[in-house]
Amino acid sequence: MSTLLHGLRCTARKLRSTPIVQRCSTKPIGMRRPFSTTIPMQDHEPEDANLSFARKKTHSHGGRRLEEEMEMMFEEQQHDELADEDDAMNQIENLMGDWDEEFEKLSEPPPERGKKSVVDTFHNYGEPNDEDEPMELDGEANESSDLYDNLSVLAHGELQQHQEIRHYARLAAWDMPMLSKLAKPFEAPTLDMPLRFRYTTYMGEAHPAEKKIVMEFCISDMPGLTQVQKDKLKKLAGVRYNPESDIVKMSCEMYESQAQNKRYLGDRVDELVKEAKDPKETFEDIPLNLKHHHFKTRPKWPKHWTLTPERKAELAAYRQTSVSSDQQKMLDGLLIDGNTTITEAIQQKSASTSAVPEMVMASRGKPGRVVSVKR
Amino acid sequence: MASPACWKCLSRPSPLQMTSQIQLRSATAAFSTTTPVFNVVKKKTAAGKLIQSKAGQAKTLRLKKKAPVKMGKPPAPGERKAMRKRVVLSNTNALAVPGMQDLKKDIVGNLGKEFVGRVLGIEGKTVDALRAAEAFKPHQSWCFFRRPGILIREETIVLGEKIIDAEKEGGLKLVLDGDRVTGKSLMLVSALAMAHVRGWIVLNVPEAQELTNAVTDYAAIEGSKLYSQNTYTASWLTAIAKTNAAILDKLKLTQEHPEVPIPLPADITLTRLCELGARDPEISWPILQALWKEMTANGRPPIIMALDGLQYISQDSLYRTPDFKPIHSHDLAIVDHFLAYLSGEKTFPNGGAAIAATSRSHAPTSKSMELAIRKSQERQFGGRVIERDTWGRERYDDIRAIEAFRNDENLRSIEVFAERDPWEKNYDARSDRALAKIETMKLAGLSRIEARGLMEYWAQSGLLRKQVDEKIVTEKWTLAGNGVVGEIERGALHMRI
Repeated sequence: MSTLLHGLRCTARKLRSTPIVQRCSTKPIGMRRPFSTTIPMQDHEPEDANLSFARKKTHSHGGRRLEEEMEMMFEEQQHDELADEDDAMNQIENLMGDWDEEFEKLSEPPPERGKKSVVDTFHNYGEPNDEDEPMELDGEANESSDLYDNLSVLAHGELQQHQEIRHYARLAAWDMPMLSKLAKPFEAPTLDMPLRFRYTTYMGEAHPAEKKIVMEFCISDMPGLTQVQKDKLKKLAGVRYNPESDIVKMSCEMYESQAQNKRYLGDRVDELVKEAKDPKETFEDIPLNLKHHHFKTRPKWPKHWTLTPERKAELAAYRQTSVSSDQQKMLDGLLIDGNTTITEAIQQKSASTSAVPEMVMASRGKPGRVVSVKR
Repeated sequence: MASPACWKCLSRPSPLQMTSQIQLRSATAAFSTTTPVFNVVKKKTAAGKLIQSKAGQAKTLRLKKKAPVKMGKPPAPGERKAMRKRVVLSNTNALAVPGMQDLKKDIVGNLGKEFVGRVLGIEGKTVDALRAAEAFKPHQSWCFFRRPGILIREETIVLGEKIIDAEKEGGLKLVLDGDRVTGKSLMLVSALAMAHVRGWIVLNVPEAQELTNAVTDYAAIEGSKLYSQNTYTASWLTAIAKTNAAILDKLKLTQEHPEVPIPLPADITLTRLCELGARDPEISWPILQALWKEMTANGRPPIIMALDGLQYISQDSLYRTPDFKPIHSHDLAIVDHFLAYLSGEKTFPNGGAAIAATSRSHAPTSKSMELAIRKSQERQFGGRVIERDTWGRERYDDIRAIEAFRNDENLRSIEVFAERDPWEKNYDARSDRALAKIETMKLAGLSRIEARGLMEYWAQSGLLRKQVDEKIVTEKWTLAGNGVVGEIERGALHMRI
């Protein structure tokens, strides 16, 4: 389809007789901004008289070859151009009209003669088919014949996706830069702003957590508190207090609006500070409970584990001494070897038990009695 | 069955044909020589009965269960327990180590640096005494060697010095701590051996959990809130008598003992006193009290009391009062007696030592005991906890590591001064009080010299079939987490590839 358009565009360009200067000069883009050649997809509404008229107009061309149609278009164009040459708006309108025509043509049923319009397949399942309607041979289709028959549903999906991408590309190119007007320079919080709030947005989607506000403040930044009062505030905060960062963090999503939740948190802070400043009970005798917080032990590399050249030399010297001490021990006969110990022990044992056994005459019953041996 | 008549022929077979066919049949070889047997009634075998069920149903096999035949004699009651708890102290297949000295009285007093890494043997009398005291445990590796021997570590030297010092009045209150398999129980054995060799009276509780896990009977002592464990006391008295027979045979009763319900003859030996208590559990606890009074009388030798498993007696025991309230282990009479000396509440009049070892494999956590040990270490080291770090001590080889550790704050633990956690609920107040003034000795890995000495002893006993040089010693030492004794044993002694 794109090659067809492309081809069409090229041919149309060639057939134009207006000078190139006029054609290619920059023309002001009006309010309607016809920057895109994409036709916005419309539902088929036969009630729209203009549309059906336009369609009828195009359908009247049905049955002819493409070239003839193009010639016809060109004639119309020329006619139009001759009429309002300087009116760029009209030109563009005409162009748009041409493109509209072309697109509508494409979504027409193809002018096939003597054939049924659609074969019922998987791809056009569920679409209204023209089985019940009588086929018109001269191409004048019914108004109820839909746009979907020329392209499959998947192709329509692709087309829609393309349109969507272009829509967002358009936004990104033309509308997003306008956001720079709304940009505010960052101003760091001052000492009179100890509270820090976090809000959440789900980008327009309705979500139950979008009304949650999280507030945190640093205890040492709270103005007007003595050390004793700050300690009391830590104890009052309980598990909300993080001793490593000295921050109290609390959240609220009890109410329906963010403002209400924020107000609640602000009230709580005020109450906490008021209680902390209360001199009747200073909580000094109660130790701070930090069991809710896990202090991560971050081990540090022991400095003397670093293998510097000095350390390497030290280790080499140590190994050298151990080798030499072993050698010395071996020379002195003090190096103990398990295997040799065992073999020596076995040899000694066998040596002690390998004495020649004494021969004693065998006797029946009484010792010392000699029994004659039969030879 | 094939008909003798030919199917194709309509003619009937003639008798001649029949005979010829019969002859033919007999002339051909039969497929089987077994006579076909039909309609035999199957014998009902003992194994199973094949039940021919009705037509159309599957056959079932119903097996009759045989009663198991009892073969052999079942073990006598107590035999299995004895087998489980037996301790083998000698192996004649092992070689005798030449030049192995024994632990003697004068050596204990003069253990110097030259003894570090040597293995000293234990004399026969001491071995018998310690065996009776159940100081040797079944899972220890005494069974590999010709005779029991103990490795002299630096800590052993320190312990020897402390024992010598404890012979004066007052006594030693020591807790042995350390990681798993670092040699705490064996250090207890060394202490008991050294004490016995010096002529002390030896009392040993081999497993404190036997006292607190409610396996022995218990009874409330009238007039006090303590509970006595009669059967255990009786068996303990037997052990005491056997262990210290040499000493107790020569000592006689010198005092009156009104708390003993039975009349005691005035002139019996202390061994006889123990026997009296051993044979009657009802009076075993009063007898033990009487014995203790006698043993701590004037002019008697010092006493060493050892206990293994301090965590078990630092919390509630598993016993219950009649009201079903848990009984604290300090309310058990024997434990109370031991802790009185360990806490310093009572002192040994003739000198003595109360030594407890912790158990680090499968023992309950006692937060009070941990805190007490830490505080004790801080007291001993002037406020800084010298934790045994992962790269070991290397006392004689590398002093740099220790200095670096002492100087580098990042390497020490975060809480240098151990404080009682105000929010911790699991402290035991009574243990806190009992363990407030203890002295601790924390055991860690061996040094390379000690490891080498031990491995040479193994090689000389014929158990380590390797040349013991620096290379293998360093290898086994490193693999053992920088010299943990139990791991060196696992690597070189037990796992022999």
